[in-house]
Amino acid sequence: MKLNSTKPLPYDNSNNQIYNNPFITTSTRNDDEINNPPNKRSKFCTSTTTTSLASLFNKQNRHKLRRRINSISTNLSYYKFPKQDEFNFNSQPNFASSSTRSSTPSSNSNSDLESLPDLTDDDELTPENTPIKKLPTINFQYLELPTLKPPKFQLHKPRQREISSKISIFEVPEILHKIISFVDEQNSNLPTESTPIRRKPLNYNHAMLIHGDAEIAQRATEEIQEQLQPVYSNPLFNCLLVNKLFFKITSDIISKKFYFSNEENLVKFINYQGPKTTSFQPKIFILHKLFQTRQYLFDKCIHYISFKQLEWFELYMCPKLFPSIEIFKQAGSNLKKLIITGSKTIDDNFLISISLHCKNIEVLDLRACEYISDFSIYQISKHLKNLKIINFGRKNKGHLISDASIIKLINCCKGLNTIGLAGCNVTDKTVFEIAIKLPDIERLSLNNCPRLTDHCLSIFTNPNTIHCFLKLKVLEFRYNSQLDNLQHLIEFKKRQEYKNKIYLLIELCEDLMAKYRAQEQELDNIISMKIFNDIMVYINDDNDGDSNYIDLLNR
Amino acid sequence: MEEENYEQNNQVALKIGLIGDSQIGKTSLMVKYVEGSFDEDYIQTLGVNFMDKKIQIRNTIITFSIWDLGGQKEFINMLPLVSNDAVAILFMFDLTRKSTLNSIKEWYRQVRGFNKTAIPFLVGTKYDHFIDLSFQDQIEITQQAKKFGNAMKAPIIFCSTSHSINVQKIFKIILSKAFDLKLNLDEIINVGEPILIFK
Ligand SMILES: Nc1nc2c(ncn2[C@@H]2O[C@H](COP(=O)(O)OP(=O)(O)OP(=O)(O)O)[C@@H](O)[C@H]2O)c(=O)[nH]1
Ligand SMILES: [Mg+2]
Repeated sequence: MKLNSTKPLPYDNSNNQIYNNPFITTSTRNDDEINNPPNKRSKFCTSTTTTSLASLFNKQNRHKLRRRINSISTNLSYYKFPKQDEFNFNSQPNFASSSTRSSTPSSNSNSDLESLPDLTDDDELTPENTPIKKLPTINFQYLELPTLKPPKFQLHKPRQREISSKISIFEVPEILHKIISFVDEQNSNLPTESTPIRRKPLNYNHAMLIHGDAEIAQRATEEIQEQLQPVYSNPLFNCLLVNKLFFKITSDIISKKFYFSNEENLVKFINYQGPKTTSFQPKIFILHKLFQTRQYLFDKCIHYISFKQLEWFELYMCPKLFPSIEIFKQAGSNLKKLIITGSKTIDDNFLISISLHCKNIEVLDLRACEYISDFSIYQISKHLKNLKIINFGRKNKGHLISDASIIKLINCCKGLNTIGLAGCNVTDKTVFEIAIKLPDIERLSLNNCPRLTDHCLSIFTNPNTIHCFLKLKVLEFRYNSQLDNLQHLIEFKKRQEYKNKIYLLIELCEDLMAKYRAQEQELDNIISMKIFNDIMVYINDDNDGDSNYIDLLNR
Repeated sequence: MEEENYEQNNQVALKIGLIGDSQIGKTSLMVKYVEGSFDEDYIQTLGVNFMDKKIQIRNTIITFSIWDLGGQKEFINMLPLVSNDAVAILFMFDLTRKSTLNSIKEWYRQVRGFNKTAIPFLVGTKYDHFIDLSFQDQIEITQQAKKFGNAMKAPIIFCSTSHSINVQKIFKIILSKAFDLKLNLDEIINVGEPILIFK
C-alpha cells in the first residue's frame, strides 16, 4: 500500500496513538485563568413527579381529563403518590437530584406491582374465591409422530448476478464519502471545552448546600478530582491507511477540520508541508491550549491554509498567538463562530476590523482577552447584528467593560440568548436592559460583578417584568457577596418552573448559597404557616355539609 | 395583599386508603365525599378505585386522593397500591354486621405490613341502619368498636353515607391529625349517637 506522506495531515499519526487510551493523559492545566462560558443546559420539566406541594399542578391537570372513577387497571400507571415522610411544605423540590429522578411517574407504581408479595397463599379461608385451576396436561406428542418427516432445509446458495466485477460499497466514492463522513461525525473529538451541566461545587460544604444530601454532595465533590483531561483523537487517521480511495476521501474530510491541541504535532504538520501539497480549506480551525506556541509557528501554519470557507475560528488559550486580519478577510461572511480566549495579543482595533469583515458572527467568545474594552464592543454592535452568544468574562481589567457598551450591544442584537459578563463592571441597568430587550435570553452569567446590587435581583420578580426572562434556564451570580435579598431569585425560580416549565439553574458561590438556603427555609416556613392557617379555618368551619344526626333520630 | 397576582396556590396532597370487608360502603363513602351523591345499588369493586377531591381554601389547595380497595379477599394482592404512601387509612366496617368489625383486626395487620406510618381511623358505616338495631346490639357494637379503636390508637367515627352524617367530619379529622392542628369539634360518645371520638 502506498501512502503519500507528504499529503497534509492535521497532525502526525506516526506515533500511532491509541484512541481513548486511559493511560495517555495530556498534561492538565488549570482553566481557572478564564471564566467558563455559561453554555449550560437546564432541564425542562416535562412532568412533575415530586411530592412537594406546588408540584402537584401537573398531576391535577391530568386528572381533569380522566374519568369519574379511575379504574386501577387502566390508570394506575400514571400515578405516583408522596411518601409520608416527604410530606413537608418544602414547596421547592430538590433539583439537585433532578437528573436522577425518573420523569415517568409510572415507575413507582410499576415497581409496586412488581414487588407485590403474594398474600393469597395465606388465605386458606376462601378457596372458592380463588379456585385452583387444574393444570392442563400437556402432551408433546407431535414430537413422537413417526410420520412427520424432518423438514428439508435446503440452503439455497444466494444467487449471484452475473456481473463479472463485484462492486463493494467501499469502492463507490459517493458511498464511501458518506460512510467516512459518518465516522467523522460520530467520533471526531474536537478539542473544545466541554460544557458542564452545572458547575462543580467549590468544596464539600458548598456541595452540601447545593444538594442537601451528604451522599450526593460527597460524589459531587469527588468528581472535582476525578475529572480526566479528555484525549482528543481522530479515528479518521485509521481510515487514511486503508487504500487509495479511502485516503483520498478521508483526507478531503479531514482537511475540512483543522485542529491541534499539541504543539509538537503542529510542528510536525508544518514540517510535512511541501510545495506540492494541496492546501487546506477548513471550515473549522481550532488551536487548543497551545500555551507556549510562538507567533512564527502560527504564521507558518496558516501559510498553508485557505480560510475562504472558514466558519469557526478558535484560539483557545493560546495567549501568544495573534491571528492576522488576513484570515478574517478571507473568511468574510462565512465566519459564524469566533472564539479567542485568554489572548494577550488581540485588542480593540483587532475586534473592530474583524467586525467589518465578518458580519455574520453569531458566537463571540472573548473571555479573558483583557485588551478588549467598551470601545470596540460599542463599535461592533453596529456591525454584528446576528450575535447570539457573547462572552466577555474576565478576571482582570473588568473595569474596561461597562454598561456603556453592553447596553448598546443588547439594543442592537435582539437575538442574543447567551451573555457572559463575569468580572465586568456592569450595573443593574444592564440586567434591566437584558430583561426588557432580549426575549430569547437563556443563559446569563453575572459572576463576580461587584457593581450589581439587590435591585437587579428584584427585576426578576418585578410585576412589570413579568413577561421577561421567559426562556431563562441558567443564571449565574457567583462571587457577588454584596447581594442579600435572594428571595427574588427563589421566587423567580419557582415561577420559571410553574409558568414556563423550566428548571432554572442558579449558580451561587458558597456564602450566597448559604444565604439562599436560609431564605428559602424562611419562605417555606411562611408558606407552611399560611397553609396551616387555611386548614385551621377550614376544619373548624361548623357549616361543613354534614346533616345533623338529631333529625335522623327524631324521624 | 402584598402578594403578587401571579403567585401560585400552595398545594397539599394527601393519599387516603379505604379498607374493609365487602359491601360495607367504602365505594359509597368515596363517591359521596367526592361527588356528593349516593346510590342505593351495590356495584362490587373489582380491584381498586381511586378518586381525587380538591378543596380550595383561600390560597391553599388540598387534594385528597382516595383509594378504595375491593373488599373481596381476592383483591388483597392490591393492598399495597392502596396503603403505600397513604397518610391515613380508614378501616371501615358495617355497623349492622359484627363480622365486618371483627375482620378489622386482620385488615389492620395486613396494612401495617406495608405502611407503618399512616394514621389509622376506625369508621363504622350505615349508621342510619344501626339506629334500627336493638339497644343491646348497639351497646355491644359500640363497646367493641371503642375497644378496637383504643387498641389501634385510632379515632372512631360512625357515619351514614346515605344521610350525610359525619362524612365531611371524617376528612376534617384526617386534616387535623395529619397536620397536628387543633379541632374545635365536640366529641360524640354516647351509645346510639353517631360516635365521634378523636382526641
Ligand atoms: N343505608 C345505607 N346504605 C349504604 C350506606 N353506605 C353504603 N350503603 C349501601 O351498601 C351497599 C354496598 O356499598 P359499597 O360502597 O358498594 O360497598 P363496598 O364496601 O365498596 O363493597 P366492595 O366494593 O365489594 O368492597 C350499597 O348498596 C350501598 O348503597 C349507608 O351509609 N347507608
Ligand atoms: Mg366498593
